[in-house]
Amino acid sequence: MLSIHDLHVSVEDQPILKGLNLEIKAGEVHAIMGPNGSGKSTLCHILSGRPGFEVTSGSAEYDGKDLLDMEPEERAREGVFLAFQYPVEIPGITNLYFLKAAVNAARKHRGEEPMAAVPFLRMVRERAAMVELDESLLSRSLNVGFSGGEKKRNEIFQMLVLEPKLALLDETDSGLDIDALRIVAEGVNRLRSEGRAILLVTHYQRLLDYIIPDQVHVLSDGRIVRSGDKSLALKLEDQGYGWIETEASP
Amino acid sequence: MNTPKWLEQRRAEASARLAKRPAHARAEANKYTRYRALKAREQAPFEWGSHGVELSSFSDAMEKYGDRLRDTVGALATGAWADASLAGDHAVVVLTAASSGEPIRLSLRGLETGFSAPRLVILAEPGVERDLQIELVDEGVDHHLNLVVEADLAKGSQLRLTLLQDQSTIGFATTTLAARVGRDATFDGVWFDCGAQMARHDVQIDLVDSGATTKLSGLMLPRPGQHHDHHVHIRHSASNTHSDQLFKSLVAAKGRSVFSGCVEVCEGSQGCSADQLSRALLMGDGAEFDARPQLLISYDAVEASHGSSCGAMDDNALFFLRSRGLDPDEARFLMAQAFAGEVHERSSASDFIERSNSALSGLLSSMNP
Repeated sequence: MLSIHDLHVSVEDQPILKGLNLEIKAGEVHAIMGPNGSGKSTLCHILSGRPGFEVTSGSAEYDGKDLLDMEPEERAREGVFLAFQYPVEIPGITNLYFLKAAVNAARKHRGEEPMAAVPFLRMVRERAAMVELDESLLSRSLNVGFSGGEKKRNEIFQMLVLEPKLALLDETDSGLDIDALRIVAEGVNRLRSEGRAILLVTHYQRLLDYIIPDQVHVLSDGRIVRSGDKSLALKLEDQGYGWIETEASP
Repeated sequence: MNTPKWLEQRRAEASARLAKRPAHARAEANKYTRYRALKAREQAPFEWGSHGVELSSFSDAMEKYGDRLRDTVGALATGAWADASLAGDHAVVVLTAASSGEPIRLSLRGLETGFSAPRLVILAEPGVERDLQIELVDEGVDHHLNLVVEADLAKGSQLRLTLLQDQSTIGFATTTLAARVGRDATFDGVWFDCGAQMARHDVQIDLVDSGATTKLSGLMLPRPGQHHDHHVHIRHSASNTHSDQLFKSLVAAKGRSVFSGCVEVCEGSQGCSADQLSRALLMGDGAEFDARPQLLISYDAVEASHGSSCGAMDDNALFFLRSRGLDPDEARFLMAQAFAGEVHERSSASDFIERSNSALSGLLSSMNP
């Protein structure tokens, strides 16, 4: 589903990703871990099309298409979803209003009719319940006055509504208490299916107690330096990143 | 009926002030107002349309409300544009308990090239609640509408005004709205500026008795070459009075908007609160917003705040919406609508809101030809 080859990315002429390679197949969940500044969030941003990042070389192919050549909205309509590390607040735009626009933009892209109001409402209520998101938040301005946990749950709620094929979760677990972490993880697990892939960026192994990854990768200085199964995350939790960085240094 | 002496005297004083200093003279109060294009014009006809109320002539109203008129006409509204219209006729609206009901709609239409100076007096009797909707339009001619409204709100009355300025882009609008707000009375005002080459609104509110409250809002949408301007002065001259201001501008490239807001809290005005916020989104090169927030506080036991912000649309929020599948234009429109929505929701004039939204769409589409 996602094939990244020798990807180099700079921000303001500062190289961040320095030859990243990654393959994710449909149905798989991959976790990216790594020390601060290693390029984890940059990877999410570049895959979702955030402006301000320059691809200096390399490629990223998604479902057989050149992902890096697509505008952010095209990527979204093709099924790429980014759960933001810091969800934005937009006063005056309600969750429901913008989600209806987003759902219908994707439907239009697929050549489908816009979703009628009643089934749309039924669907969003169901999905909100899955992440225990209070229904009153649906008609409030996007993330305005939400707690940190509510904002993160709102991201996962949007993901469940939009049903992406490739979900990029950028430190979705940061700032969550144990209960909220479990709820968010359950929401993510609901999305797991044969036709979907998930890329999780996290600092902590604890999220992987709830979302069991197929593969764990360690990103260091802009490259993946170690890959393994869930046991790699446990080892990192126990020993930190020092041993990997030592091994990886030339 | 002969013109009362007090009115004759006020007209003479206004005339003398104008002779000394014309309305568009260089002065601190006109610092940001673009008066260059405003030339002297001959008097020209305009049309009053009214719905939901009967306009009384000044002479009829004098018989019954002489004392209140004397305390109101030419006594509340100050400034050169108010002086410039004092010589003309006045239409009087008396809001009584018996007249309560549907919103009052007044439509002022400039018919030919020139200048007109409609003047309105509103007397609200105790406990009356009413919505007043005023629209300023023209026939696509270079017409300068100079409207003056003086309102006296008695104890416990509530007047909710929405003023839509939707003149052609060669028209001019200057308005002066002055309200004296009595004990436990409320004056709420919302201004939507969509058209005109230049529009300036002077708003003067005096909260004269305990419990008097005012909530003022404005949305200015100047397109290239247009100038929209609000000058607000709120005076808290009694204890436990409250004011709230929210003025927003969405300024296209080479458009200009101005907000000058002053809150004056007089000595002894204990327990007052005053909030003032002006915000502007600059949508292109050469867009300009001038803000002049002022607090004049002469007493300690008050709560007062003011804030002003100006900048481009939030790139992070735009990216968020695009990352959910929305076109950049659609995302910008949603953001602009959300920005304007906070002012729209303060008015109950749904067709005015629609026209303001339509002007907003026009402004955004003019940027993406």
